[in-house]
Amino acid sequence: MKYTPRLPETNVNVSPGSPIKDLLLMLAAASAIVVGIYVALGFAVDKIAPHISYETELAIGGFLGKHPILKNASPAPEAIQKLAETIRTRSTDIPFPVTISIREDPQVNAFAVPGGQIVLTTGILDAIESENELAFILGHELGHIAHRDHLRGMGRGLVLLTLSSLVLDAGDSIGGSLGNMVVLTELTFTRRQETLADEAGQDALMSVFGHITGAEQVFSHFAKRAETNYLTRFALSHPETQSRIQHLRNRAKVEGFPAGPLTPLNPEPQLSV
Amino acid sequence: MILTNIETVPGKTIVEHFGLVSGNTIRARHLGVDILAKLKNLIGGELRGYTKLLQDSRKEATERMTAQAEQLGANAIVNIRFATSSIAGGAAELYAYGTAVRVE
Repeated sequence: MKYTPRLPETNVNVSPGSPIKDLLLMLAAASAIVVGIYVALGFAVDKIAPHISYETELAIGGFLGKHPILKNASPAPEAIQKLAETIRTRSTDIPFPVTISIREDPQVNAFAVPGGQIVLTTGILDAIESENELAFILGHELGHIAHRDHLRGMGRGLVLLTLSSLVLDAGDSIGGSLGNMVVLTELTFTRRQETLADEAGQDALMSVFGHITGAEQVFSHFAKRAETNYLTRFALSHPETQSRIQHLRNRAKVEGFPAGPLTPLNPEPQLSV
Repeated sequence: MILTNIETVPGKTIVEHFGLVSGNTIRARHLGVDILAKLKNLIGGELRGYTKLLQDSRKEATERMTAQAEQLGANAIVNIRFATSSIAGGAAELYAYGTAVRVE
């Protein structure tokens, strides 16, 4: 037997192809998949969210309550709590009591969590000057709860997290990641959802004070905050805020909502009605 | 090309040998198969998607090994072996190797 040591001319084990082209192709495919899943989830969650029972929502709320953002918030003064309850019973059909918490945070912000917890920052409480503004903010957040907007946002995040942990073998358990849903619930809502929540805020003002003055003042605080930050100022140069104010003005005209005097918020909100 | 995993080709004589030839490939299936496989873990059973993955890999590795042998002027590969290893989650390496020979 003759031994003829030879090397092959080409290495068949190295596939030809451009790594950059591969990368671009994969990025395009991955983006298409993510967008596809997100859009599909959006439709699915929008259909499912309204059917989630209030008991389930309360259970989710109880679970989310363990998140540091909610855990470190302190209970709101009795008067704010009473104002929220008044709005809930008079202008929404939310069947469970809401809890208002205050979070030490200079940002002008407020958000609601499924299960009826609303968090106000000290920043927003410092900024507002009237009980009417407070009522509008509470009404707006109650509107999000009543319309199940947070469940929709959470549902998408939850399914995405589940998918990613299934595929990527994420070290975090799904349960652990669930806590971060609170942060996800702070994500922006669609323009339509915001408009409906604004209308709920206007209804809240009507139900408590019998007029709708106070809503526009709330928007002015957000505009003030934007002056300090180029990026948010840029974002706000968009006519969004103006169109929201205009929508409320138009609605007030159509519904015949009157204007009225502001009720001062000093030193603590006093329930006027 | 004669492929065999014994050291000879029965009925033929090896007249020349060219040394080791090998073919390898590392493959993954797509996202859908990976998700189904994870779900299958819950109930058990054959992970058909991964069975196909390894089948395709073996075929590709064998073809590459054969291509190498052809380049050397061989008409048979004897003593073929397969090896596999896990490279990343959901991906497998298939390595096929053998001795390229010419038989008469």
